[in-house]
Amino acid sequence: MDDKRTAFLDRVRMAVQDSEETRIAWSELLAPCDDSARLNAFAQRGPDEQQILLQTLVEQASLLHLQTHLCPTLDQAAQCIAEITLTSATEFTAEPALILHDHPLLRALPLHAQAAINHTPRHWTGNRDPEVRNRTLAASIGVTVADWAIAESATIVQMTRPGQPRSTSLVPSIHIAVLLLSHLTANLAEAYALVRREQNCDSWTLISGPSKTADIEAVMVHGAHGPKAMHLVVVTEPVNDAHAGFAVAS
Amino acid sequence: MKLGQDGDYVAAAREGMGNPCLQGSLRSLQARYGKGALDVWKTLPDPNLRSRVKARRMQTLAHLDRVLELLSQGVEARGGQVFFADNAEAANGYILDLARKRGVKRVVKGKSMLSAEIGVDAVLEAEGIEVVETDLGEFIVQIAGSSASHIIAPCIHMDRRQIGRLFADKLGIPYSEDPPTLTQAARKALREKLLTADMGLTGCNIACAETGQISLVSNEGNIRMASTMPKLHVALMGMERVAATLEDQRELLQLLTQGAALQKLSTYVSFVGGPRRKGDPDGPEEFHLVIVDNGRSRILADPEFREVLACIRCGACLNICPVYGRIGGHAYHSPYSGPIGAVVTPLLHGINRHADLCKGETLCGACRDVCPVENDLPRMLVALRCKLAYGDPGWGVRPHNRLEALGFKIWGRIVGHSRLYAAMLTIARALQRPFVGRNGMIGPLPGLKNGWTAGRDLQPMAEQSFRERWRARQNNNPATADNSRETRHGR
Repeated sequence: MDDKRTAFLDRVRMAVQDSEETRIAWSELLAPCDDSARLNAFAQRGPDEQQILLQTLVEQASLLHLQTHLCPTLDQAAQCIAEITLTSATEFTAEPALILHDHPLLRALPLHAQAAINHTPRHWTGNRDPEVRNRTLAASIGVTVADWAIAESATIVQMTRPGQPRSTSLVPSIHIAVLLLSHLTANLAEAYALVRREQNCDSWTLISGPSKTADIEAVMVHGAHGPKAMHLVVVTEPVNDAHAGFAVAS
Repeated sequence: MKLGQDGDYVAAAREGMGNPCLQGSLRSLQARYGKGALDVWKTLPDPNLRSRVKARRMQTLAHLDRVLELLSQGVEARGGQVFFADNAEAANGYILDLARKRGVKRVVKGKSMLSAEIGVDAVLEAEGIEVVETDLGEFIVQIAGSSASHIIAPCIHMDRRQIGRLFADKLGIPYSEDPPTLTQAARKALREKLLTADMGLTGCNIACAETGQISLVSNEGNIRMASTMPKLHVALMGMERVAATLEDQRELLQLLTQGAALQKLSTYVSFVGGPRRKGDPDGPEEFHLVIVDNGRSRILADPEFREVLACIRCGACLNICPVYGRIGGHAYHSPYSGPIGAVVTPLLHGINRHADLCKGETLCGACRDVCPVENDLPRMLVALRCKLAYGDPGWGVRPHNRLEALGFKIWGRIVGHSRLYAAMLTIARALQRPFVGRNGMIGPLPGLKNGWTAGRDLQPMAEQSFRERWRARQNNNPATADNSRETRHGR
């Protein structure tokens, strides 16, 4: 440790020395969080409870300009993405173009069966592609997978992983996130418990709707620096685990 | 605005009160968010949340040296770099040095009040580096050559017409006063900056020692852009802005977003704590966390003021304060305005220098009621006033106004002697008569008294004091008159 840092931390230590007797033990301050109840609640949630959470999610999403699409199957999810692609205006690019997270769930989406978008460029954010940045800048729509979503605040949780960069949900004008209903949590506390269970949470993000600002006379405008529109495609029926492609099964 | 820019509180307050646009905006802001936050606290599912979070916050501060060490270890384990800056100069020097070494030509900023506190923009600009604010409100005040007047709504003092003219002038777009059109123009202009900058400079909302990360909160997405797209990400963090555990961070985050804007969560909350990992297709190549003291350890060492370091800068106290609600943020001459600014600015930059701030507040207690971490700002305002009245060598405070102190000393003597007091009342009543106007009020007075009467009419002293009225009342009541016969006869 360099001298400057030592001097800095010594000064802080001196400043708090009066609390030596009143403060709790260091081990108590850093005591690990017991997540068992939250994880159990998430794992054991039945279909009826999931439907109630889904309803909450849809209600909360509508307050945030986050458009939800309930699709029973992956086929219907692919169709939904095609429709969004066809009906959305482009902003920074002349023609629509998709950039998709390199995720097994998206790879399993039968987008090739959607003839209407057969000519729309589609790129995957493979981690070996040196052009990912440029392809992201050239895309009008970014498609990602939500690791989890939070019903009470209409939030998606996204971990940064190889092949699943941060910019896909940020730089294109439109962001489509795909969520498996079984990955819907009740609240932020449950989502944090799931994040803690992950081995690799060096970088992660919570996203609740499209980018927005109310800096000019408190008038709400969507599309400040991030996407102008956000869609959450919820696949409501169970899918093959191999397709789900999550390291941690729900 | 660099912290502690000298300025006249009274003149700036007057200017704020005379700005109809600001007055309208402040009224609607306070009607919605200040009261709204109070309602949120009243209906929290866990009524003890705020006090529990506060207790954890104070415990974290009591262990701050170890908490910061743990945080820096986490960042360094990921390949990030941590610099501990004793003061503004050290922080600015580190950032400038880094910018020089990497040949940085353009810096995009995410909203950071600490960056304004240390004045890093000017240091970088002096080196010929372009510094661009990317939060829409901050961008507007930057190109207007103005400064932020609210913690989360920086350009609340400007209306759409002013912004329309500004954009027509600076961005070369046709004049418009339509907020979506203006936002779109800024989006386009700033996107180019965000995608071509060499360095992203952000603040830090709440760091987490347990995971060795910082969390960044925004609605616009500019902070995610600034921390993702440039090769370098530098995050500035006041040394107190750290939670011990991720669970602490979660509870603070929920209080922050609700206190600030009644949101369950802000649009974006991102957790970062290092450069991109091997195999990550994007993210910065370098991550630097600059942890700044700049006067905070002195506050930490004083039990009377340590509590103010629990603040999470949500701005809720601005949204409820009757003083801020009239004068706006510029009168505080600091990036930290409102009640929190009135406490923290003098502590960071000189209690005598910013003496007007604590005197300007009303001590009504609304800021304490609305504070998500239940900071007792009124108590600290009184403590600051006490230091100004009597001086405090520990804080280098000299008595603020010796004449005032003498006045109160004399006053103290007078009120201790009832006859002297009564005689003084009689004299004062006689003296005030020529100044009482037709409306029965005292209008503007000359000299020293002008400060009290220039902006408001003063109620004249009553012709009878309470004691005199009480006596008269007792005498006129047959049931009690006997007891005061002597007095009645005396009259």
